[in-house]
Amino acid sequence: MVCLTSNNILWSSTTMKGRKPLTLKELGEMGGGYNGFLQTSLPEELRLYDPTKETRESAHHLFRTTFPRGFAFEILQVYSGPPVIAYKFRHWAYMEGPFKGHPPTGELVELFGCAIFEVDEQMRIIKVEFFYDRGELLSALTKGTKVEDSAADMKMGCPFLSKTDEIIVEIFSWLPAKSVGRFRCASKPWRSLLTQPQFIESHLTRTKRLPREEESLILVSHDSHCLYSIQFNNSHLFDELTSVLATKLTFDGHHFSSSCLHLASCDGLTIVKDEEEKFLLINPTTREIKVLPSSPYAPNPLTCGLGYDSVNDDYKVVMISHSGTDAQMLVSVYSARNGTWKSVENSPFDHSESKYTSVVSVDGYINWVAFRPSDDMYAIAAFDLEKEIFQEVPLSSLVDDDKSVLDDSEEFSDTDSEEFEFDQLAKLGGCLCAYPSSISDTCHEIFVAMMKEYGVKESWTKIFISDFDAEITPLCLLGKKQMVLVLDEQTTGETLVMYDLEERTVKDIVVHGIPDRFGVGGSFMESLVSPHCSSYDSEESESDDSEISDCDNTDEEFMFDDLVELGGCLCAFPLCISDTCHKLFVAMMNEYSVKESWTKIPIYYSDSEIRPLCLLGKEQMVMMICRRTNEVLVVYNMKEGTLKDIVVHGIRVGFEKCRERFKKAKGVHSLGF
Amino acid sequence: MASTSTSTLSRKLILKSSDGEKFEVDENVAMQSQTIKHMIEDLDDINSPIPVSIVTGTILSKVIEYCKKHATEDSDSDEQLKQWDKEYANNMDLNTLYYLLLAANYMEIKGLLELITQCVADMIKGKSPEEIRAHFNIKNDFTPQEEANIRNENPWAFEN
Repeated sequence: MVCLTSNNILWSSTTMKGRKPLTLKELGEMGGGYNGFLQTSLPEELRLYDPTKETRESAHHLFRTTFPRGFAFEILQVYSGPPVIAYKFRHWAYMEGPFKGHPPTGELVELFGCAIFEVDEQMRIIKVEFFYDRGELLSALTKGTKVEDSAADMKMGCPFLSKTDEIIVEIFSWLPAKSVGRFRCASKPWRSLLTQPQFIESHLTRTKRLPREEESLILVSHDSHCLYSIQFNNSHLFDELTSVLATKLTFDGHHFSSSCLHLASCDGLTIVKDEEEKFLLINPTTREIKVLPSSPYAPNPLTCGLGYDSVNDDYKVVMISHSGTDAQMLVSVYSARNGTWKSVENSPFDHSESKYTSVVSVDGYINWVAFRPSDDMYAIAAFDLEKEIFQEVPLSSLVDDDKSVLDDSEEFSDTDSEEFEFDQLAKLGGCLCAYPSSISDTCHEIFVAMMKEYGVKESWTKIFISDFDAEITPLCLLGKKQMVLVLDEQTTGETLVMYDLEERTVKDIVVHGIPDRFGVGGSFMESLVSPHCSSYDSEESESDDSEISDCDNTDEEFMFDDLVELGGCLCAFPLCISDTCHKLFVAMMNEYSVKESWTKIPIYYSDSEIRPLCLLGKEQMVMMICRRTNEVLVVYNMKEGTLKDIVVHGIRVGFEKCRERFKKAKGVHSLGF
Repeated sequence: MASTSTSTLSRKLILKSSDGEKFEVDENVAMQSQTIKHMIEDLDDINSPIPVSIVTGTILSKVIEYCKKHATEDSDSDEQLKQWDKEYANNMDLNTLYYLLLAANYMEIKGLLELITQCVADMIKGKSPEEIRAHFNIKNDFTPQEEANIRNENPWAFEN
């Protein structure tokens, strides 16, 4: 039944035939289990697996790659009891990884053999002999045609799919949001990759870095109370007449009044108010919507802004409200991540006019034009989203500013600055800008003041706008030279135009697809950011990089790189011990995907690598530990922190690989636990 | 971009491709690759060839062409360099682009990686799910019902 030839004997303590017997010391020097197991006397060039060229590490790495799920062992039948134990065994695994250039077959790889153990009165092993055909294993592993290394990457249909996700993210981050949306429908792996928060974040980062050649506006129709969006891009720069097609944005059951002006926007999210005075956080690109609960701290809402707090990775809505009785400016902050409102310190500014002015979010600050209480003058009030307090944007250097965006823009002079009265804000080319909403009789040069570097007062620069006989509302910049703005002329009413800053020429923008008159709500950039920030949490907790919440401040040092199931719970543990961390522990998620349920099981025996295998009752854990060069099976008492060795009789080969499959193997009893 | 210091004479390095082809390049050209930069730091003898194990000679010569262009701070303005990049990328077929991408990723040449990923993105951005599957030979593993659902959930991606 078991075919034995001289070549098939691996190690035996007799010298009668076959391979020379090995002592454990020799086996150790040879490079451990696999190399001993696959000894050969074939000439080198004919060896499929050459034990003399493999180290313990390389052999383990090789077989771990070939058999990602482990190389299990079971005893099929015991023929005789002590002192001479003879049994038949099976080593088996599924070949799910490549083996030395041979592609994985996915098939079951089996190796049958027979072993004879001689033991003394104390059941100590005197000698061991194994009989099997190493070719049985190697032939199964080399079934697939060997492929050259460089071509191995090409084996999948799509070359770009076989690369790491990192490269796919690199490519797809360049795509417009709409293309990403379409490619989510191409296949399941793409869908999963392109909806991950990490991807959305890197897509946003790249969109922000790109030269701004695509800008979008939200339009509000006066009669049908609907929202529309239009997008400008490169191609609009060169046409004689700019003509754009509006897309209707439908949000189930919500209607919008034509007074939806000065909408706050940040990273592709926009705050709009519906006809029932409910505030909605929407992504006009992906049409995601989140209805905000009304703020319990805002009895008479005046204005609301939206911005990103990069420290806490949170989109925040800031509502300013009149207190009603004592003229206090109440401020409340809504966290999209937590989904709750909280009250913060009152604003020192007077925002009573803010209802009619625009809100601009730049670099972690939300900006409003408000009255400075000390002198009742206009100032730019800036709300710090991280610290949640108000500051004032410095303005004074408008006076002696000598920088300009364009060569032909004129410098601020003392006389100009006195006449420069801004009462509106805009975000142009990513920069905070201030401008006057009405034309004064004394000043016929209209200009927009741009703060090129946020918070740096020397960076205020003026952009000259030709002397229109109209009020202007700048909306966005396209590239460096084109500005989209609304002209409000007394004779013709409001018109949307494209203004060339260099040529000082004006082109009309014709909007198709809106049946009635419309107003401009505000501008936004297209992004994939979801208004449901909090949903990220649940996704994260399912993935490997879940936060280990219940592990005090040592959790910074907690690095895990493998998972195990213990007592029915998901557990994470580190494969290697770091030098910095001498408190080794296994993190256990007591309730699956509940972040708060992570608890830690400290392992006090920490000067070696561990591999937890299973729990025995509530106090004992079976694990592998690495002692000197050997892996040893031990029982760890979690209550007392003590270790007991487990002596396994009857096997010395491929021990490490069997791991938890031990328990499942049929012949487990004869192992002598 | 690599710093060209004129004070020290530029050393020469030899890069060896996976198929054994050798290229002699100036140190500042090779140093645009973070991977090679790190390798040199660990290397005692810089005269021995540096193996670029997964990159073939054909691809490596293209990588070096890019690095040479970007190592010299000549009179080329940003605009001219951009134009050169554009032509460089447009002259590659899909297969070459793919191997260049692998090489740029392996050798950690940020500029080249960005150039090629952007080029690939430009090629695919207008495509429909069907076209992208055909283009890259991707298997549609959605059932017709699943696909219909996903499309209905994302109508915004299919407008215009």
